[in-house]
Amino acid sequence: MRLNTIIEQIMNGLQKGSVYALVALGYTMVYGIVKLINFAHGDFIMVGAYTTIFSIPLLASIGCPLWLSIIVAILICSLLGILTEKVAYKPLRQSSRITSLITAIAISLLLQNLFAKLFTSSARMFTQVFIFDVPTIIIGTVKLHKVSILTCAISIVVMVCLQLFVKKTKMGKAMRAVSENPDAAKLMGISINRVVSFTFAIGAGLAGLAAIIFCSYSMSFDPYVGGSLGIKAFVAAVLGGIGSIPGAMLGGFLIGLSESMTQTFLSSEWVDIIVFSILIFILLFKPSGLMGKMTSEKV
Amino acid sequence: MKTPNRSMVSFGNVQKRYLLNFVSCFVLLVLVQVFMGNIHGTNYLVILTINCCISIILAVSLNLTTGCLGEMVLGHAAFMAIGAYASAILLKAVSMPALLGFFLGLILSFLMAGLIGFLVGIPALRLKGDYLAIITLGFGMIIKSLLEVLNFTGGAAGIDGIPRNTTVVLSVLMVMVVVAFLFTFMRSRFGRSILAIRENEIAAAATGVPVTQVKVLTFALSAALAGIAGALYAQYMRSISPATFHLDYSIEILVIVVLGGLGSFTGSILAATILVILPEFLRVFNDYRMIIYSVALIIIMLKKPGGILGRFEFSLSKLLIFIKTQFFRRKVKDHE
Amino acid sequence: MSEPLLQAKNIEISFGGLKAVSNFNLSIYPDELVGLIGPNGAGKTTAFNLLTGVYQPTHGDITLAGERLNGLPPHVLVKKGIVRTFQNIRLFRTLSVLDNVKVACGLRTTYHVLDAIFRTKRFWKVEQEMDEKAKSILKVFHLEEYAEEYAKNLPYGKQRQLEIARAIATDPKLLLLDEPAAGMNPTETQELMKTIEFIRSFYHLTILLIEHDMKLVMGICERLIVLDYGKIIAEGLPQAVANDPKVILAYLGDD
Repeated sequence: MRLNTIIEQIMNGLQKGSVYALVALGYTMVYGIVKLINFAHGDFIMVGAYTTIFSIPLLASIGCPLWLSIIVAILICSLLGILTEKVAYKPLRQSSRITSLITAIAISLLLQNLFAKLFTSSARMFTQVFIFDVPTIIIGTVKLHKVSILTCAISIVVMVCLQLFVKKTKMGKAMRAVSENPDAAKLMGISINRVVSFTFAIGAGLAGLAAIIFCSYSMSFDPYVGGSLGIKAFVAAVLGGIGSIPGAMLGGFLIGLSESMTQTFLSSEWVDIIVFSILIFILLFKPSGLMGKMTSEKV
Repeated sequence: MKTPNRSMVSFGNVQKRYLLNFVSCFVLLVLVQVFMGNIHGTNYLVILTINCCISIILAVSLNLTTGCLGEMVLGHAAFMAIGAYASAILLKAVSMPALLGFFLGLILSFLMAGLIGFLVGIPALRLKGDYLAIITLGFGMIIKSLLEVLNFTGGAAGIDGIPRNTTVVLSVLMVMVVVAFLFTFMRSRFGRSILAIRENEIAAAATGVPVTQVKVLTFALSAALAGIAGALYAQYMRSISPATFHLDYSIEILVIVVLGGLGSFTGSILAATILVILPEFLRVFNDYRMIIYSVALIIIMLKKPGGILGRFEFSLSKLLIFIKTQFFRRKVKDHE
Repeated sequence: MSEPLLQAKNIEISFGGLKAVSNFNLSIYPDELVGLIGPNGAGKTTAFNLLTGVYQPTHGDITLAGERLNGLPPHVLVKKGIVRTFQNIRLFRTLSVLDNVKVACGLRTTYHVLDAIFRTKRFWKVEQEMDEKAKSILKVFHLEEYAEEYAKNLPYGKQRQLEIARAIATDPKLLLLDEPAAGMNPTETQELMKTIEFIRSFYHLTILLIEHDMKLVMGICERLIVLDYGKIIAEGLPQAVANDPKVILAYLGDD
């Protein structure tokens, strides 16, 4: 197998991985604060993708630069996140985990089928590649797509910003406080509602960003792409240690790379087997994920 | 007024109660045979009933682990798949009379699914909560993918030409057997240990319950029962493929269990039945069916998070006693 | 003096870099009633966790009647005869009071799955035995009228008693009570003291208890062991220990 093919596949893997990483970041942030597996998270990407595809002609018609569609997608997704939280998750904060899980699943189904009804379930082509219309760098005989590098860079930058935000800012500290001990946080004057809404906004916004990147490498999508994307991203978050921001990034890239490598060296049928085997293997030796913290019940 | 009997095993007039239950089941079976025994296998009503039965078995078996033991697991459909494939492979390899084939297939499915459940459970149940959910999800995906990849399972195309040994009567019978088994199993020291683990795992261990052992065995039992559903499915549909048994199906079953009430087998039976029958009535809204379903699900979760029946269990004898006391009360009133 | 029932030699455990318990040496003789006291955070519950298999010591040996216990999980230790109650009550809340005790009864007498499914004679016989045993234990704690009530509905004091009742149903040799009087008023505490003395003689138990309530400790304990910062600082008869300056210092602080 030639080196440039391998490198190309690695780049592919990293690109896919950055999508997973961004979504995983959203999962992990939300989970860290409200201990909820937001099954609908993957579908936020789908919403982001559709938003982009519809906002581009809109922006064009009013004479705005087309890269604004990225901002629009992120905004719409954030709003969707906040809305979902207010309507469906907030009332269930005191209920059992499984109730929230089922509600999240219901929202996922709702989004998928709503969009299928509104926009038909046939695939859409994302033809506006112009945003990423950057030439490829050629080093020797190896083609490096600038897109891949760009998306990886974006993911890493986002992660670093997020990590800094959580560690250094007031809101970030509030988020960590709510994550550790909501009751104590309340007593310290932190508004749980604001923190949770904010978290969801960021998480969903990240999904919106991921949508753009997703569109950049996958030319078409339909209302159901959120499903498997969501699962893979969730696996990535757990792999890296759910609640850990660098962990989500690590997990995302790991999954993306494994998928790409398996596809190249084995076949696409083995992808799921390998990816989940890696997950199981790691969880058995490090039950709280690669970078997660082990929390045990005090006896 | 006598205090309600909340203990798991109650003494007293058990012989009478068991006889009552047994007779009603027998009567029901006879009725099913009389009205549906001779209808052709592809009849709409037959399809519906058998689907119902399969859903019920899947729901109650998942409820054992999720509701009674309190461990959320995703990937239940994979064990159904193992059961389905086990029956399919056996019946295609060896030809035998329908009834014999049915029960042999059933037993093999039960054992194979239980074995795999046991093997998966040993590593998986070391984890807790959401990590357990994701690892069982992972195992489920692996099993489904392996079925697609391996040759002797027919790959992505699956297996077809399986004899149709499942009949309505046999399906209903199996539902009764499985449900009766679960009721008697839970109302014993095994049930107490399982519920103890759900309530407080650390206290259960401190009371002598071998927690990991019980968890793994319960999980394996759940899987084995799902295998039975798979056997029914394979021997009815005549052809099976891995595509049926993917994550969405596992989630569907989980939704049924939660809707019916975690820990209530009666609830699972009701929810499974409703969720098989209702879509048929809503065929008019076919387009909006899933949207209505998801909105209804959200509303139910918001309003009744414990599920429709919570932890309630139906008891035929208690119902009769209730009717009797109501009737008796009215009679006394008339006399005064 | 007979052989010690429970012996802990040079026990040590660390969490992260912190030594929670060190140089822990303990001998409990049959039929003794020993109190383990010390200021908050001294490591008393940690010691209990070590003795019941919840934690494994990083150094040292624990033996029960000569048999080495290191590495055995909690449920095995219960079978060997060590049972405990918890500082924060850990009951099976949605089970009936009777069933809470019956879970413990299942340890010593058993029947097979098939017995349960087919409701054989053996099933009914064993269930009847468990029922009688559970009810007799509940009687000792004056809880028999609550038998069919959900455990979570019991008043606080009775919940604590239920936990002890459940522990006794495992037929233990050694009973470890973790702050059994926590949250109780003086009357309830008096009742508890009587109950502890009764069950000790009636069930031939050896008891080690953690307590902060000094009336109870001085009232019923034959011997005291004092922990501070994970180390034993004093041991002996209650009066002697109470007057030990080291102990007074530990409780009152260093100024």
